[in-house]
Amino acid sequence: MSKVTKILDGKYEVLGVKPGPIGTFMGIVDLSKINEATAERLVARGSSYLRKAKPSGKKSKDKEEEIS
Amino acid sequence: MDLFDYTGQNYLEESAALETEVCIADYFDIETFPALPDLDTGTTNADYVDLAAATFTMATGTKFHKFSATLERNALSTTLEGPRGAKAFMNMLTIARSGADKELVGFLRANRNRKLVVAFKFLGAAQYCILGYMGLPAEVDSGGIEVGAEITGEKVTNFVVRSIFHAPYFIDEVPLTEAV
Repeated sequence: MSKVTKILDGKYEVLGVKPGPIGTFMGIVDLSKINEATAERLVARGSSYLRKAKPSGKKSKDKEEEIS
Repeated sequence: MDLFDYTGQNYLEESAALETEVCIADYFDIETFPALPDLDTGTTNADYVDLAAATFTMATGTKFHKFSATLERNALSTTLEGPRGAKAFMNMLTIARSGADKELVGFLRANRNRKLVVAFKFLGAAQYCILGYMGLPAEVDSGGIEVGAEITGEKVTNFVVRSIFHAPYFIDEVPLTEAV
């Protein structure tokens, strides 16, 4: 599952499938129609088909060193 | 596999029945099956049947399909079959939809001999149960259409999906949209 599609203004990424219905702990959820609250619940529960997008933009080297 | 205590728990929302939505995939559309539990590392009974966040990798453009059945008509029977010391699971999932029309007859015609993997939920459950696994697909065991003579009689289309050897496994998610 390597192909990624961004949803919700690029804040989340759908993995390996078209944004569409997935059977989840909440029942059938359509990833093309969810809001951020639902996306957050799915990500928090460890969904295999949805993840939060990494913030865009590169960190400076100094900043990366600070974090590590 | 180890022997663990089973102490049970009193679920105040417990009831029988299955949810009406059933997810059905063509066995040959699945490229990679979710990994089965590691039997050496289980620390609870549930670990032996819980696939958790493991996924089905489907061929591009394929998915599990929804079958909307009728409430209180779907049923599961799992039994242990075979000689002493060599018991295997036999799982029979009855899927029934009130009605009989060309959509349902066509569904039976198209899928009566297909090798399947089927996912369904116990009523109110968080995880899906799956029947059919790599090398041992589920198949339609029986089924048909019943239209009673009386106007107030039964009119139903049903089919029974059978899988053998594996226990019903529990999995978090099922892809109902096409793989890319």
